[in-house]
Amino acid sequence: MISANTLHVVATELVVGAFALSGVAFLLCLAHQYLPVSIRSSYRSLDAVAHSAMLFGLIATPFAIWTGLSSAPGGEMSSPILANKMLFSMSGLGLASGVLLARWRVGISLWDEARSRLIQAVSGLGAVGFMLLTASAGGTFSRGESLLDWLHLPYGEVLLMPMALSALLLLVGIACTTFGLRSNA
Amino acid sequence: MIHQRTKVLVLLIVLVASTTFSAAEPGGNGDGLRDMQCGGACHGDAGQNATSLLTLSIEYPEHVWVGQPAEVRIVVDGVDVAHDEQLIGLFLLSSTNANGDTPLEDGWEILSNGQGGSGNYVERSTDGTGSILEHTWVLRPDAIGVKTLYAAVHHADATGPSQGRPFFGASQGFEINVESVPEDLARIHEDFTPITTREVGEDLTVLLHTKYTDAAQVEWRTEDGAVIQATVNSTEANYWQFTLPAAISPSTIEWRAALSGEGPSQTTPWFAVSAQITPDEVDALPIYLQGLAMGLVLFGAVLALQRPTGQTDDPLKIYDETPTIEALQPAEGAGESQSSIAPLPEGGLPPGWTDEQWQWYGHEYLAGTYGDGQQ
Repeated sequence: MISANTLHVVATELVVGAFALSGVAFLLCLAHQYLPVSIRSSYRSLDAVAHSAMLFGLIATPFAIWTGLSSAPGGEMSSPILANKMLFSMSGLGLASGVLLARWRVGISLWDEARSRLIQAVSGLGAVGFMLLTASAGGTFSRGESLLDWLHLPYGEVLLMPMALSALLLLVGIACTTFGLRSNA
Repeated sequence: MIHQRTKVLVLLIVLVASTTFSAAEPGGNGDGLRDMQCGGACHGDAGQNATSLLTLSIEYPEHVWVGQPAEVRIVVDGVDVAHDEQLIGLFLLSSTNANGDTPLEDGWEILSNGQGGSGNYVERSTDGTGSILEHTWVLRPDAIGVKTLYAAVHHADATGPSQGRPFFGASQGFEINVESVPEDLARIHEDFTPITTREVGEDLTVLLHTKYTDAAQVEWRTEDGAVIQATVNSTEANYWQFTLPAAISPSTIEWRAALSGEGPSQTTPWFAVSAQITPDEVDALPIYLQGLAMGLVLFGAVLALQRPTGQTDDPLKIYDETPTIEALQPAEGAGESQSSIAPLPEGGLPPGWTDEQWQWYGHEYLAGTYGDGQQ
């Protein structure tokens, strides 16, 4: 019988590995103009790696969240670190989903223009950043340390909004999504 | 190309070679109930472990009675001598099978781990301990007979040539003879289980259940060793109540009772009670709602910013413009010639020509180049 803890470790390693790879590829996409010609000409490969790795990480993320909730000692939200993990992972999940859907809808031509290129790369890196923060918080929770300790991030404090504000933010999100999906200008 | 592959290969080799064997969790993993297997698994691959040079022994009372709490102490000698441990994980085990080897598997009940818990594994800092580190558990055996206990440690080395390397060590077996209880011994009742934790700022009232006891005295001590007598009230026969004062910060105090009656008297082990601050219960719904809202806003924001422009899925012009420009130049030229249809000759369309042919090839006809000039 495999425990939820072990499954959580497996799922998080898949997520973190995939997102880390995706992050490197997005970084190279963003900085392609300053790279050697040999790498610059392989932008299609970078684009494919960035998005396919992100897709893989995205598929593994719900498993990581689910096993994480199952393995948390003392309950799902028994610690502010766990609450922060939930907020980070959901933000990363949303950002990564948006990045992938945008790439699918616009196609590779989104790298044509400086504006869309910047938005895509920064959004992709943001999603990776959220996932790495989630992993760092998990390390702090289970082992008392993480690779990002040098940043002294306040994982013990949760920026929790009132329910009404969260509901308002949810409506804004629905409006943004509807606008983004319907517009085809 | 070969030169580039060599460079990539060298880079990968350097990256792999730069990794080191190191303790997996130098910050510790918390107290708990753990098998000896964790002594290897918590450091990653057990095969990486080096043998600890610490000397381990177990001390226990002369008489261990069935159903009665007994202090079992692990003594670690050589701390900060051969290694710079900083943090040591201590195991109290009933075998060295690596799994299924906690004292619970051999009929022991762990009443106290000395740090406010009831597991067989604790982590202790070595700061200020000197070369000898001691840690005490309170166990209660459930059957008469000989039982064997082992002590085990795992730790890292913070400095020196073995810096970051994991170490593991286990003691020899210590056989403890569990005896039957003298019939009229003043003692704690078998159903009494001491409380090991409480909240900071709250008193703790203990109702001690005993047998063959006519009088009880309780004393408690703080971490700095000061011993204070507690006021004990008898609520009914063999029930004794006393109150431990509130702690103002997370800390541990210990208490013990001196029991006397018509038979032999005895003093119980020290029972540890830790004061801690339990985080307030959090309603998960607002967190889920906020997480969902944040995710949806970011999702929608990216979609709204990255709208399709109706362009075709053309290759990236900014990355690789040369072929596109070359391809466009003749196309543009052709477009211009196609946009202006050549004027018809005086006699109208040449024999056998259609309007559409003239529209496309009229210029070539007039220039005498259509069909390689064979008009």
